[in-house]
Amino acid sequence: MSNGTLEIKAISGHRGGVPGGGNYQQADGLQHEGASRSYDVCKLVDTTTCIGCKACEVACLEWNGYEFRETMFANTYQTMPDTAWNFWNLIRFKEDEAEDGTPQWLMRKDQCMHCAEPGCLIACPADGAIVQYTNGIVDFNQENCIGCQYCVTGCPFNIPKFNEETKKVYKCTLCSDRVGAGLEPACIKSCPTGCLHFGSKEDMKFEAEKRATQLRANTSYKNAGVYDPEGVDGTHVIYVLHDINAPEKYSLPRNPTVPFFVKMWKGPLKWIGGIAMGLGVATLFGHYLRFGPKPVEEEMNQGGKAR
Amino acid sequence: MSSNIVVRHGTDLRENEVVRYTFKERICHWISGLSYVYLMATGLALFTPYLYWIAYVLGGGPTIRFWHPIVGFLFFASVLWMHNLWHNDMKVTDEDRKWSKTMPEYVTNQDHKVAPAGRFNGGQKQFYWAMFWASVGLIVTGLVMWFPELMPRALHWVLPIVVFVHVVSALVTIAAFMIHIYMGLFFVKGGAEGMLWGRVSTQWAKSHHRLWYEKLLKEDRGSIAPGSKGAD
Amino acid sequence: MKKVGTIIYSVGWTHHSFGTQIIRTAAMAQLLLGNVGRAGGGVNALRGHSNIQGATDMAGVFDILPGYLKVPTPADADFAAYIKRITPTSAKPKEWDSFNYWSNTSKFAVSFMKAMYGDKATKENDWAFNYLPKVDRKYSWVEMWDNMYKGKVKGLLAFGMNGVAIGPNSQKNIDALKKADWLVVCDIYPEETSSFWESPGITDDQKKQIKTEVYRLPGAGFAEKDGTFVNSARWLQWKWAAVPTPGQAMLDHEILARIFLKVRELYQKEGGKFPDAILGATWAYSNPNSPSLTEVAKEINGKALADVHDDKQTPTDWKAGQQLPGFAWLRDDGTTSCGNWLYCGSWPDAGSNTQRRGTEDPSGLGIYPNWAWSWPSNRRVLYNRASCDVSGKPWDPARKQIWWNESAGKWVGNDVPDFKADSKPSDHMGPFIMQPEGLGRLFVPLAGLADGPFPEFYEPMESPTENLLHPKQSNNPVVKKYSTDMDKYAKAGDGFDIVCTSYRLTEHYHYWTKNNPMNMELVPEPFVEIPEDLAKEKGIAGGDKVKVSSVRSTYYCKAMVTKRIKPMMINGKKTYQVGIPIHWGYKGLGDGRPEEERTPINLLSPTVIDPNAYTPEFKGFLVKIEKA
Repeated sequence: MSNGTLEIKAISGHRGGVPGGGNYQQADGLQHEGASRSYDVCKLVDTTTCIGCKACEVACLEWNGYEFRETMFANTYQTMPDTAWNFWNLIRFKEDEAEDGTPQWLMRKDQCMHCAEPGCLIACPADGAIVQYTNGIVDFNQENCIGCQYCVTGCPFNIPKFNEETKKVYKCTLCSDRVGAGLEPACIKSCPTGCLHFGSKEDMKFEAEKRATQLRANTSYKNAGVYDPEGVDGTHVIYVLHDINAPEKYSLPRNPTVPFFVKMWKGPLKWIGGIAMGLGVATLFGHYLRFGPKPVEEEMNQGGKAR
Repeated sequence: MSSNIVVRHGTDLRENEVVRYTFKERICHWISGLSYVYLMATGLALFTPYLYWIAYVLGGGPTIRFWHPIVGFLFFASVLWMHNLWHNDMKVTDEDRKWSKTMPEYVTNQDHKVAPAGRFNGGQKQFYWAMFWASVGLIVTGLVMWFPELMPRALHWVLPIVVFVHVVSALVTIAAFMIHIYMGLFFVKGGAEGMLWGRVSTQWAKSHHRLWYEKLLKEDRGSIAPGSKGAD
Repeated sequence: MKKVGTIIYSVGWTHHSFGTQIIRTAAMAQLLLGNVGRAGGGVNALRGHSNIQGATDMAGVFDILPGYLKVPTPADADFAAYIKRITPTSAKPKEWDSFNYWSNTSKFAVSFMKAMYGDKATKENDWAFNYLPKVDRKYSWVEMWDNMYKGKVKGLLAFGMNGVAIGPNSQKNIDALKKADWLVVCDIYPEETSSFWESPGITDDQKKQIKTEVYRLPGAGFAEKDGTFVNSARWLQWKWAAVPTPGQAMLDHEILARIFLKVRELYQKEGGKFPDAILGATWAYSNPNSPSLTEVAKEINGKALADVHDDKQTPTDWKAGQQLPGFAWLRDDGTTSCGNWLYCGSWPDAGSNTQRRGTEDPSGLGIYPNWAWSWPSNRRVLYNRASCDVSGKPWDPARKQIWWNESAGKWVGNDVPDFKADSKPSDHMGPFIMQPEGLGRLFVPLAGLADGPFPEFYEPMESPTENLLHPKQSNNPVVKKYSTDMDKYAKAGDGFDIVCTSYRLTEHYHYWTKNNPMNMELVPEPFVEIPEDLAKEKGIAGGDKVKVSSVRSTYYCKAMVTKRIKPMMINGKKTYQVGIPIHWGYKGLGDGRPEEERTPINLLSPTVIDPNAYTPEFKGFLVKIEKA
């Protein structure tokens, strides 16, 4: 599946390195190992200019070929209570109030954050089920998925969703197929206010900080800021929030990280366990050489074949 | 405190033989053991990418994900059955504590220095309980991991802990299993035959489980072949 | 003069019985602030439909002809009298000169008559003036339904207008249809109007009484037709059909064409009361059954009917049959034909300007001179002379729209000057070239508006309070109310003390997206937004079924309890407002309400209209609310 602008950086459940790995632009800005056209992409969501029109919800469904489904009125404008295996992009609505009582209607586009340190990929045991490209996109390959839902366990944003029928897990792909062909993701294309931006992480971070600064200087949003959580080494979807000190209002975790126990079982426990098993076998073999099998009393009385 | 040893009707014990395990006990053990081997193999496939090839050998990733919990359920059922059969015999006594103190001598083949053991020696009982409790840990966490989609969103933080406990429990069983195989197949000759055919020699019984053999002599002569050496 | 502000409004300002005066107020404010004629200024409408601008430009309303020419009345004895009445005479206040461009009305009107009646319109027969209907009274939307209810209107052709859903006072419209002899509906799905006998609450006996003959003609959706949309900025943008019409559906203009041709055939065979107007209408399309909109667009742009010459223009000549490049070429001697003088220049001889898609914006002002074509003459900002000072220098040198070029002796710029090109600044011509005085009007004289020369604050017809400014005349004194048994209006003390407004959602489009699974996924069920305090008072929780009633009827839906709508203190009294999105009715995908409760929202709204624009007061009337 070699694709000129999609280079693989990491593969779940995979032993050894990445095929053809090492050809990517690293943080020092230098090219390594030959020509690479990749750079890390980023989707910038400016919640301060989102109008909650849901064009992005529709674009995502249409591009990925999912049917529209029957929904129910639930005292909110939010289309669904949560994302689903066939509904990857959801505008979350929250009625809030500023300190002075002014109503604030918060709208945040929720989808996979494409973490630089992706908990889903780290937790996944199946070879090749989850792939991270050098441009930052984290993609699921359902043909390799075994349906164990470790990815659900590993994700601090509760994004991967299980399909009971196919027993596979699905999530936003950051339109890897479109990006791979040099196009912007479907949601970006459909946004009528231009609150969704797409470009390199560096550029999007710059735009985001510029906007946050503008908000702090010129509006009542003195706490406007950029959500790009370090706990997962940064994400390839970043937000400008009206209030960076209250991410919970947007249903965002304050300090998302790959869960501690996931890191433990995929990290130290793996190699400790492996070494222990290896040492164990070796020790037992060594013991057998040294001490041999246990003699039975009769044999010993016969004074014979003590081994 | 004798166990229900039933001699198969119409089966003659050969010379110098003692009934070590009944048919029920052996069936239970082998169901348990074989299902465990499958669980260990498929579990290891999911434990490290270096062993993921085992999944392909055993029918593919989705296949082992499907069967591992089902076989796990079967394994736990057999563990419960085994517990029903052996929990009395596995109770730890003062004799076991004395025996465990002499375990270094046992391991280095200085058997004359080792305290006498009952039907199961202290080491075996340690193995049993380690395996039992680790299995409980495995089934409880395993049930959650079988249907993670049922976990409500507010409790998602429990899932990483559950998987971690499952892995730790599994590693404990693997360590115990390695020692158990070594003991049964290599270190203690005659052990495997006992679990396969149910019979061991009277010498073997006297040698490794003297207190048990003496009890059989007193309470259950039917388990010992008539005319066996050392039976009188 | 560097900072410019714009006012952008929508139907929140116009759906009132004093809506026109609200817009007037905005215009006055902008005139006083110097924001008119400036890039980023002006008073701008967010339209409710993608082509409503085109609809009014092409006179889809009863009181104008295309290009905003006034309609003839019975008092106009002949064409000359008509032209005299509707052509403003210049007024030149003090040192100001006035272009008074409407002084060219006769050229526009004659060219229009030539487009309509071709060779049948001659100088000798007064340009077929007697073919045009003489509009003797108001025939606006609400009038029409009132006439139908009173039995005066016998039949209706409804093309893409769902009268039952639109209302106001939908039950009156439903009952009007029950009395009509015939109804023809062209739409893209079987909607409320073409199924009016299925309205909630109708009994079987009532159904049996209905004798109306209903014809349903499946028409084309917007993506199935080419043609133009005209936006708020007056850009005519050509669009191409994306998909063919499904099944037996036909393009709307084909349906109209076939009806017209059949009616004409009947007139030819059987005669009638006044066949001339029908038989005299031009219909010179290559496919008369389904006229190509390209041909229609060219016809609207206009062409020379004889060789024409003008020394003052470049080029100076056009041959007979050639498309004209602009309204400066229009004549009142019958040598030019033009369906809409404002659109002259949209399709010149060189080709369609409406299909241009140039993305350059060299001035950075958002003018995009080569993207499509705006009327008039591709001028993007109206009255842009006002963007310069008296001497012809732009107020803001960093944002130059047009300016006076001394050496060239004319106005030039990044935008096309909306002005007489060679009028020197020292001639003191006023920028407001369509006004007889050449100036912007703070005071509207000569009954230009029905209610008054200056705006005044009035309450809606159904208001929870009296007007503090003049309690004895709380509402617009010239507002039109109706007087049948179906026209009820609530008064204070009637028990309807909650203010109701109706509006639209982003996720739906009027009354047809309730047929589309995509829109219904985004917002599936009808609801009323109510303030938390009101919900508490009435014991209503979010998601509860509720009944909202006006003095006219009842609407069923669920409650959305929200912080976003706050109670108001009006004249010392705590007053609640509730809001209802309009998009549901009794036809379309299931919306969760049982059949008998699938009520359209406009059952609630009153038959009260603005006296200038005839827009109903959808945005402010009284209701009560309770758990269902």
